[in-house]
Amino acid sequence: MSIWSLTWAYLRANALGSALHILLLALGVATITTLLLLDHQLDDRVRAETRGIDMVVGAKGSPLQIILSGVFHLDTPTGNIPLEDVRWLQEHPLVAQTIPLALGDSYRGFRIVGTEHALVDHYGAELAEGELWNGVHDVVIGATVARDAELELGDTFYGVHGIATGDGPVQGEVHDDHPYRVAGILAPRGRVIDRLVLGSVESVWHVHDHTSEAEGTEAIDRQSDDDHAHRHEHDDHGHNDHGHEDGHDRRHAHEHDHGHEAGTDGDEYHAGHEHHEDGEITALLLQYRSPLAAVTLPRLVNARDGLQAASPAQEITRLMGLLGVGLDALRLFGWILLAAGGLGLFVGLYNALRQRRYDLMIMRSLGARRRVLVGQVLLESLTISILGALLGLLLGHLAMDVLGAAFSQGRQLAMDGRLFLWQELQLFAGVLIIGILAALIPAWQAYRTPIATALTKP
Amino acid sequence: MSELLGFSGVRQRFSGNQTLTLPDWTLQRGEHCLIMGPSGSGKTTMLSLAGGLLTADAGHVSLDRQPLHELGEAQRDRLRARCVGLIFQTLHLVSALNVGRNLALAQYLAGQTVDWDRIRTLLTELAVDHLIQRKPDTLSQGQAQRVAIARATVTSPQLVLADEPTAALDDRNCERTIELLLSQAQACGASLVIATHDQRLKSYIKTTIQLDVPT
Ligand SMILES: Nc1ncnc2c1ncn2[C@@H]1O[C@H](COP(=O)(O)OP(=O)(O)OP(=O)(O)O)[C@@H](O)[C@H]1O
Ligand SMILES: [Mg+2]
Repeated sequence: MSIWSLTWAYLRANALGSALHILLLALGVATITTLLLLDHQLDDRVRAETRGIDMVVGAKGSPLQIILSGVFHLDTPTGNIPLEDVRWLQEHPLVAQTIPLALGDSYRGFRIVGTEHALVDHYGAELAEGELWNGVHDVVIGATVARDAELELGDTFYGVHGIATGDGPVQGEVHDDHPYRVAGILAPRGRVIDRLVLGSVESVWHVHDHTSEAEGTEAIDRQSDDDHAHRHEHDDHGHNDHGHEDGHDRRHAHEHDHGHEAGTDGDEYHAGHEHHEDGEITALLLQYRSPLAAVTLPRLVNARDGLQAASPAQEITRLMGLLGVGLDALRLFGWILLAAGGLGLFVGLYNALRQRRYDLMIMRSLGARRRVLVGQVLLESLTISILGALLGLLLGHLAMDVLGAAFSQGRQLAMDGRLFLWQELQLFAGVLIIGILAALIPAWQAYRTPIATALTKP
Repeated sequence: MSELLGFSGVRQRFSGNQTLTLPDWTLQRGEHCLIMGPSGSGKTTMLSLAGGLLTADAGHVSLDRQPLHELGEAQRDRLRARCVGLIFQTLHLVSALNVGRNLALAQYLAGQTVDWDRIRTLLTELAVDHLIQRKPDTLSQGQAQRVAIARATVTSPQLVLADEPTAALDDRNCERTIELLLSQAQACGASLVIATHDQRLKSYIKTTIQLDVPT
């Protein structure tokens, strides 16, 4: 006989009530935990992915879309930018460094990105095996690509036409005339690069040069039904000179296209297919040479036909501002749940102990010391709170893991529930404090009732 | 023989200007006593004072030669745990614990080590040993009363205080209960004080304190 066995007896005698208290508390804790994890990772990923990028230049369109497609590889791009604009930017005195991105194809739902070795440095990624790419057939793949697509060093594969947005494999034409060879595999970074296939810009052009040649000669392999609109567009403009006017119109048409069927494979097909025949790229990541550039460069870029400057910092702030309301609402909801759980625990224990006033009185009449009675009540309350908090933390991490795996954005940003935040300790401590209060108040009240009044009246 | 319990000049005031004056009284160790009187005459109050559940507004109560009014609440709880076994009119068994563990709880709370041999022997003597695993809710009134007697004596107290233990019982059960109380008190050398208006008990315990309804 001890306060442990006494507590166990009481918990068992009211097993259903105890279980419900634990569950109620766990739900509140789980909601808060999930939000903490989501918030932290979103912030962390967003910060990490945009670090070192002062501006992203893409085709005219939504700056947010340019950031999402060019930095996070989540959305489809707004279009393409011609090489002469790229060169203008690369040679601009306000620009320190640029990294080109040429998108268009994917493999098993992972984007193939035509770029330069500098992108690997930008991500701070390191080769786990092999070497960086050379020529138009070599690619380096991220750790997740290697794992999920089961690719090993030296393996070859064919790209599929269409830009992946993380929603699984793209349904498109297989470029079976241009094999890629895995020249290197990157070590996992827990970042977007884990899910990318990196090659040279020229390799992407190479793939599509071929296609466009075929199309230019009205080859039969381009006769699929879903491509008619697109081919008309090309018939109109494809063989003209690629002056600014024309390029702008074309991109404009594409933007409309995008608006109507955003995210569909057909759209990606167009987006990916439209360019590259004359060596365009999709976006350019760039770093300013001086802070002054932030003031003037965006205006200069936006003034040029068909170009759109997007600042990651600004767009992310805007996005977080929008998301923030939702996150705040969710967080409030979580705290309300937690408060309800705490209040539930409090009310439950309070009622249980009020009903047990006689028991406490009997124990006092049997000579129980104060610390035994208070200790027993505390132990009971703490058992429920600790179990509730632990279960809640576990559920919260599980929920975050499921969320991270179930949503393409979660996958692309490498979110999961396998991390621990110090705020969770605070949460845990908070729950324990609720438990202690819930126990102490009724215990104190029980002590204020004279035993004689409680016991001698039938 | 030495003094176990002493009342001198005890008065208890209740709300409504009602004052209860209790007679001076001493009880020697091993001596039994009945507290008798009509309803409202202060029998339960006297037992509560004797057990230290209440403190007197005026006068002194001493238990085991210790003046109760000079002790703190916690000390009174300790003294009661050591010296007194209580049997309430309502039996007050702990419902979450089975019969055996109710007895074990009394020993644990009195600061004794739990002695399962004694618990089993006691329950056997009271013919309720087969109920050791049962929860109090499942016992009959008579069974619960015997368990309550067992719990009051399991700590081997010097004083057993019982409030109306036979009020609801027929003659046969009344006889059996008083005999059990006497034999258990005898077994641990305890004094037995019973508050009752049951005249049948007079033939078992000769010493009686008679209380009158306060005016
Ligand atoms: N907590 C209390 N508040 C006010 N009055 C009380 C209180 N407890 C007892 N009394 C009064 O004190 C008197 C004695 O009460 P007590 O319970 O001791 O009587 P009793 O002799 O045990 O009666 P019964 O035979 O009905 O049990 C009664 O008049 C009762 O109303
Ligand atoms: Mg009474």
